[in-house]
Amino acid sequence: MHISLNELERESFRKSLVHRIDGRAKILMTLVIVVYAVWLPRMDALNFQKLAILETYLVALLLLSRLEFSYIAIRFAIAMPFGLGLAVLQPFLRQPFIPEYTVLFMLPFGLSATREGALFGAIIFAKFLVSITAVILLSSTTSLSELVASARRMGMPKEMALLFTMMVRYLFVFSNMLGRIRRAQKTRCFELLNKKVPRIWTLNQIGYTISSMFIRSYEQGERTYQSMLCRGYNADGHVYVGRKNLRISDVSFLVLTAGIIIAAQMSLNMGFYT
Amino acid sequence: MHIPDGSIVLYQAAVYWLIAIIFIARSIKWARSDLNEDMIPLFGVLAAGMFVLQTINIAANLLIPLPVLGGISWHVVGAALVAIIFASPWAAVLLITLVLAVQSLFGDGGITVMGANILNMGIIGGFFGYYSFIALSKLSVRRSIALFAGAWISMILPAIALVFELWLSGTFPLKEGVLYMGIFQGAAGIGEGFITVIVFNAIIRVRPDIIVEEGYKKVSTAKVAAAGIVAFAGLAIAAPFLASGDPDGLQHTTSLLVKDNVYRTISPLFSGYAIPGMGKTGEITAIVIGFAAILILWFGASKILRTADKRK
Repeated sequence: MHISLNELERESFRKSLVHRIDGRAKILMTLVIVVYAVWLPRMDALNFQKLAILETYLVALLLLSRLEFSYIAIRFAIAMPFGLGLAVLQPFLRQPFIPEYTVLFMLPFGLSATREGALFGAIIFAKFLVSITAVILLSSTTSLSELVASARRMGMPKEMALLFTMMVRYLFVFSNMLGRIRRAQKTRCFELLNKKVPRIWTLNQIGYTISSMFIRSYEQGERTYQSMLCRGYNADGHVYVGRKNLRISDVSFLVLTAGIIIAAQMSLNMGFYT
Repeated sequence: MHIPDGSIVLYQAAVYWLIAIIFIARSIKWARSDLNEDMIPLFGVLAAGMFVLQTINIAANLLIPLPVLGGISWHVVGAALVAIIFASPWAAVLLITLVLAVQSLFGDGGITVMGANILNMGIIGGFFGYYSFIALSKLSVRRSIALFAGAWISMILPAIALVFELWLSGTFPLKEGVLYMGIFQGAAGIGEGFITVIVFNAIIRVRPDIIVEEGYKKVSTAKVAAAGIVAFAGLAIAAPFLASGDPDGLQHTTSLLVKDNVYRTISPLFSGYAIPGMGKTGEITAIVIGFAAILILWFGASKILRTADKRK
């Protein structure tokens, strides 16, 4: 189960209200929401309702952007393991910053789950969920090249801009190249866990695939670099990025997002958690 | 290995970002000038290749044939590899940063914690992986062994750093974390080691001009020693928090055999590796002092040996 770059690009080229919003506005929204979510206190039951408001807003935007459901589901499933794992373990750990614990239930081997640990784990998960939803929304509704162009318009240093421009330009080339290598291997019945060949042979084949990818991308880099030099590239050069003014819809989107965050922060205890 | 958002407190994440930015800025300067040419476009393209080759998932079963490991896989990071190929740890910092930035868009690693991820995999992995390779090469260890060790260290040290970062945020206990992550990344490091050796040997056959083969001779011993000192000092600071309160095997056996106060009569400088009344700070200071003493002895010994050599 994985998402290929092509699938990511396919989704980000759909047409919807959210897709049309300027990349800068979406980058800013993602950063502000993620930083806000992470900034919330570690142990406060009120976090849930604040994060729930944000999550509802993000999910509404996801629905508005008319992405394929299975695509979003897979993207969430891929992002989950580490964050979910860390959260699930929390009830069984003793966090040093919590003064007292109430034991919920005991398990064999001296393990026990605590109420405070469970709360902390749930908060970690909620923060993680909001952050990941924001990132998925951003990357599914903005193409990679648009992201880089927006970052440049937002004042990213020109060296970084050039690096990311080149990277994004060739990501798809190399991803397709790896696809071809894999297809070629498959037609020759190459299998990772084939018991009929020694493991060291399989490991060598993987090593050669990686070497081949490395050398091919290095040589592509050389060719690109030399052709840039031929066209007069030097360190003082700028990569042209067209001016683009923010529209009223982009600004109102930002105002709406800011309003939602302020509303979430000011919201009173609605009794999600007692 | 990629820390997700929410598991590190914001102000700590900001500190890691700050460290990462300083290193990234320096790595860009390196790409601009150290190769006497502005190689930034080339590295941009290469970063795309690095991203793609990190999507090659390798089943853990391939190396360690245990049924428990079914379904678990790891991918190559290549921090030590690129640092060794380009004979500079800055290459690793630059490339890993770019790869991590795009990976975060896929939900692999968070945004606020990207600084921590860059610090672990790019900076710690790149620098210590590279300098271990150089140190071993200087000691004329066979190249493939030095490569393997460098790659392994570039996997295990970031794992320990990651556990420390999570521990400082109160998200994960230190001892268990180091144990589990150590086992997991230690195993993944074996894979990284093998792949690094294979890839390095393949590249040197096809494009020997890319690799600075005798590059390690040019790296000053002082730099390698500095990297070693930083690594050991880091571990020295970490050690007291990791150490168990129980007596070690030897002490335990002695206490079983020798009932009277034989070994109490010899009073060491820092009993229990600590300075009384100073708590953890005392333990750290004791280890640092001990470490400094070893260094002074080592420098002294090597100086005497060198003068003896010259007299011959």
